[in-house]
Amino acid sequence: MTSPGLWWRWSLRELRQRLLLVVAIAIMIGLGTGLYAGLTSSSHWRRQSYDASYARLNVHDLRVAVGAGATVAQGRLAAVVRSLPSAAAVTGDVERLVLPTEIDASRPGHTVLSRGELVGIDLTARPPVDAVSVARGRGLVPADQGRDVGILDRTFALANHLPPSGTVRTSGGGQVHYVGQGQSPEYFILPGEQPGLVTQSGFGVLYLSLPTAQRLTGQPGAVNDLVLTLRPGTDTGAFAAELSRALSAALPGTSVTVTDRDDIQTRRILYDDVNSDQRLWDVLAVVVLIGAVFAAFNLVGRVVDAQRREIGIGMALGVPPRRLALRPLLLGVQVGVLGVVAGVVVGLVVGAAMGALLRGVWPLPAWHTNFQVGVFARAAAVGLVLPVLAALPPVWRAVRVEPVRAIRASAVAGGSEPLAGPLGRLRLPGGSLAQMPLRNLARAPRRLLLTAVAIAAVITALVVFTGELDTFTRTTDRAERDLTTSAPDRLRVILPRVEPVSSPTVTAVRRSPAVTETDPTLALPSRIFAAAGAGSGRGIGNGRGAGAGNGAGNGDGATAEPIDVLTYILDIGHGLWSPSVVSGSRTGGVLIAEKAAHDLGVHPGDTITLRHPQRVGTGYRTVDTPLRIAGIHAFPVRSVVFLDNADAGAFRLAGTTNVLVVQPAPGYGRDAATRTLAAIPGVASVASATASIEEIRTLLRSFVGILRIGEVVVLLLAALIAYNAMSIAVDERRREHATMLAYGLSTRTVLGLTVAESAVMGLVGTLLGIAAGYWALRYTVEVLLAETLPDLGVQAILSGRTLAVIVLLGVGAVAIAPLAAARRIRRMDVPSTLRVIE
Amino acid sequence: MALPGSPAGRETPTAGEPGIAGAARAATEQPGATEKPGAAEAVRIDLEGVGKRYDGGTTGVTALADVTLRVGSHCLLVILGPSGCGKTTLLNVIGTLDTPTTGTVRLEGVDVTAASRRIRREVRRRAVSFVFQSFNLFPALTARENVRFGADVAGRDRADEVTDEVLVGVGLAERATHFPHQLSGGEQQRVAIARAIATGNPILLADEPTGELDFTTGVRILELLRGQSEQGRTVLVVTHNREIARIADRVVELSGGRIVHDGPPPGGRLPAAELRW
Ligand SMILES: Nc1ncnc2c1ncn2[C@@H]1O[C@H](COP(=O)(O)OP(=O)(O)O)[C@@H](O)[C@H]1O
Ligand SMILES: [Mg+2]
Repeated sequence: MTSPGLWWRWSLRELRQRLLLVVAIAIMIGLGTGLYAGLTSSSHWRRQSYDASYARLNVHDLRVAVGAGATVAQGRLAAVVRSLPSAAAVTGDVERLVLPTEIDASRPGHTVLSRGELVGIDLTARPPVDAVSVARGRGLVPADQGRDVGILDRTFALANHLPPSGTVRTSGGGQVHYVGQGQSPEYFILPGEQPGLVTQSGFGVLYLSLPTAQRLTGQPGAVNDLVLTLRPGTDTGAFAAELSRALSAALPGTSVTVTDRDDIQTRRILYDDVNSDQRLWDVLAVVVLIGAVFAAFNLVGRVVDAQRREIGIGMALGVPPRRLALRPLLLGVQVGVLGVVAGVVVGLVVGAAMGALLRGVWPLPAWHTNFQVGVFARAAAVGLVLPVLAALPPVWRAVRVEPVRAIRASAVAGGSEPLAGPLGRLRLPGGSLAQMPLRNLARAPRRLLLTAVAIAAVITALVVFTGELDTFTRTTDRAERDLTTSAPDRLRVILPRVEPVSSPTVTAVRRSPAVTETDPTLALPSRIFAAAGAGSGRGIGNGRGAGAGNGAGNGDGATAEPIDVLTYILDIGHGLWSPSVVSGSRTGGVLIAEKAAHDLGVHPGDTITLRHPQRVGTGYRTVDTPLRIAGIHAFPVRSVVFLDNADAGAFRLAGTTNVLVVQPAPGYGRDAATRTLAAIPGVASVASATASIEEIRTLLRSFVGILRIGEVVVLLLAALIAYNAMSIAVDERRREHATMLAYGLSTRTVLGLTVAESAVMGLVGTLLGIAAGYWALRYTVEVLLAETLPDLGVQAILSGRTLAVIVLLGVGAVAIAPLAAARRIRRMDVPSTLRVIE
Repeated sequence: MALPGSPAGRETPTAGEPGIAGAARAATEQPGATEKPGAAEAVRIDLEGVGKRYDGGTTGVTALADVTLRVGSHCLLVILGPSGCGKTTLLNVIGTLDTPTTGTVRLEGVDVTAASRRIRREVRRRAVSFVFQSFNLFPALTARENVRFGADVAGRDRADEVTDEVLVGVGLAERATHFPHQLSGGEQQRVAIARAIATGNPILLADEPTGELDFTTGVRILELLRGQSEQGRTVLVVTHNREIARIADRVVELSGGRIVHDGPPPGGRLPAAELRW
């Protein structure tokens, strides 16, 4: 009956009238899909950047490490490799000398002292294996052989704000001029002192030429490490076995381990994290998307509802329903198209923020943060389809209604029957005006519900994001509190090996003027199993510990994976500091972390198996000892196990130590005491009591950054929902407002009524959102985070402050949104508005 | 909800009541800034050469031209004319919803022509009340609460009693707790009139109040309005229906925005019950 051109022009004219609203709804959808696209892109970026970085630096296929502080003559390891029958498969091999050290990169006024490693590399080997990339300054060249120059680890340098080049001191008084900052594959992330944790500022790696490292450590001509690459297609396992056999034959009496690429713990953490992180991002993006979708459904629906009269007139004029449905559906298409544009923009912005965050948290030699077409296409499809779907139900309702009803002037926008029941009759004290806000809400219960749910969905997302940040803060605070219950400024003097408590180094520390008290303790790498013999046959040299997915084995001790731990043996209850317990008692067995007990499905009083080193003569062997769990300690890291001296007989290490806990003397600040102690010959490094707090923070850094990005998106979304809901509400109430103004009410009173109504809506939505949010928070923390961060015991918490802020925001933002319409109401052309007969 | 500045005990409006002048002074907080209230005590509405022109696009529209009109109390005035002749515009100008482009508008002696938004708002709260063709009731409020709204806005004391009295007056005491969507068109319009009456304002402006109603219902509405003028109010009813004009004390006929007739109803006055249309 009319030309398609007319319908199109009509629709465009309407779009122009409603442009602001349509754009606002589109942006909401864009925020949801964009967040998804941005976060998911980052997963692809990480994976491809890791691949590229490892490939560029020629990461080793196999690593040969000589254990227990021993070394072999330079050339010996390489000779064994070359003598193998399948030596032709080797494409590169490099001998190294890798030794722990204290790194002192202090400048005047800026103390940087931390544990670390010297990596002496044979620069003459070609091609390089586990090469060192250079981000600033220059790399090492063969001419640097033997000179006191090196490359400082980039992550460490960045975290400690060190200049591009400078001087660092190493244990034993060495001084090295670093000419650049760089990275090597094993150190893309830096291992924390505590298994499972990572660090940025707390572990300094200095890459040197092999002769330089040998001279600095006083071991000329010695190496303890070899890395090699194999021709593609080589059976790495078979080659490793062959190599192991050859090594034990060639070097009897020397403990040598052969590990492969997958055993590089930092590498595994990087790749594992991508997968588990992505699951978490998926959930968060979906929560935000749900919020956006509900809001879009609600808003598009209300816009279409406002056209019901026109649809009714059209039907009365005999226009076929399909024709009538076209225009409101076009609105959905318009929102969808703009939503796709908005989604791409938001996705790019979120992606850029993610890229910057990732580069900062994990500096890598190669970061590829290209546009992810597939991810964006998926997000765009969702963004396009949703608004059209949102327009369908109200269109359906509109074309089915009797035309007479649709045309009636008093037809209620929102389409539902007003509540004539108890809620509708609800009376507040006060006059007619006081009744208005609640009555208006009760008049259209479906609209109230939809809007409240939209607000609730966004609040849910906000609760999840903020709650996770709260959870992290509390976990870190709890750890810090626990470590500082006594002697908060104590230091830990770490020795390179287990020594008798009467050794010269221990005596020197004890007698140092920098300390007033010394507790000799032990920290020994070990592993715990749920029940005797439950552990698989994996040796200690194979560092593959409990990976992700532990949550699945809860309560089922037989299938729970073993956990790599550091067992601290100390005089509980007597020393400078002792662990506190949350349940059980402090002595009479091991103290394990709550998370460890949860993952192993054990409780105080149960018995677990501790696989640990036991002294035999001058060496060690690995034994399994069943031990009673005395209690659960308060420290939130899974890999921490405490054992009282009296209960540690199985180690046969009485009278020995490798960690001296010391109280600095008065007058010695932390830095001065650290420097004095680190200078004592035989001391590996000195750490503060709370060093592991930095490791926990580092572990959480990327999450915190991403959560903050998510928070910004959610806040934007909340503001948009508030604005849109208001905009539509003011539009729907146009006539009522005009009538009030005609009766002499002030704009302020009219606004006040709208604000009150919005506030109630906001309150309902916020309360719903907090309830749903708390549930979602517990799920993401206790199920998803437990997998993502298996080493950290986190408990969902929503702080009172956060709760207050969220209520204020949810109720406040929604309540004041109508004020944005103050101008519209003040400028309202009352006669024209009243003239319009709807 | 008590609105500020409500004069106590304002029951039935009478000529010479200083309501508007007082309201205007209160609003400007400049005693003596307005005209002497005593000057035109008997005249509630005083238009002098009022014109209204809309400048829309290329062609302007003259909605009113040189309208001069004085109306006192106890008067039911019908503004008559075909659609588009400027009736609604005239009513809006009198009700201070609209401002004239030329001429002056005085309500109870107070010049409101170029008055501030605030003064005009006070005038609407205390002097004029509207009844609309499409009722414009608040759908979320019951009949009683809609009426109560009028009393509240004008800041009347004893708002509850006033509301009940007015509801009985329009014969809707039984329907007090019903919502607008549960009422017929005529009942809704009676609620709308009750809302206007409950303000206690001396001037009642009704734009085509029977436009959406059938004959019998329309007659009831007109009788209600007639009763209000007999009690002392100034009631202006806009219509395009010549027959309705016959219930008026006075008929002003507009054509093209000009007054073409001002006097008693042509053909003589009839009681509402005898109207036929
Ligand atoms: N806002 C406006 N813009 C332009 N013209 C208007 C506007 N409002 C009214 N008019 C015009 O003014 C004239 C008088 O309108 P109105 O007072 O509504 O007439 P009536 O109520 O007698 O039908 C009409 O020609 C109308 O088109
Ligand atoms: Mg009109």
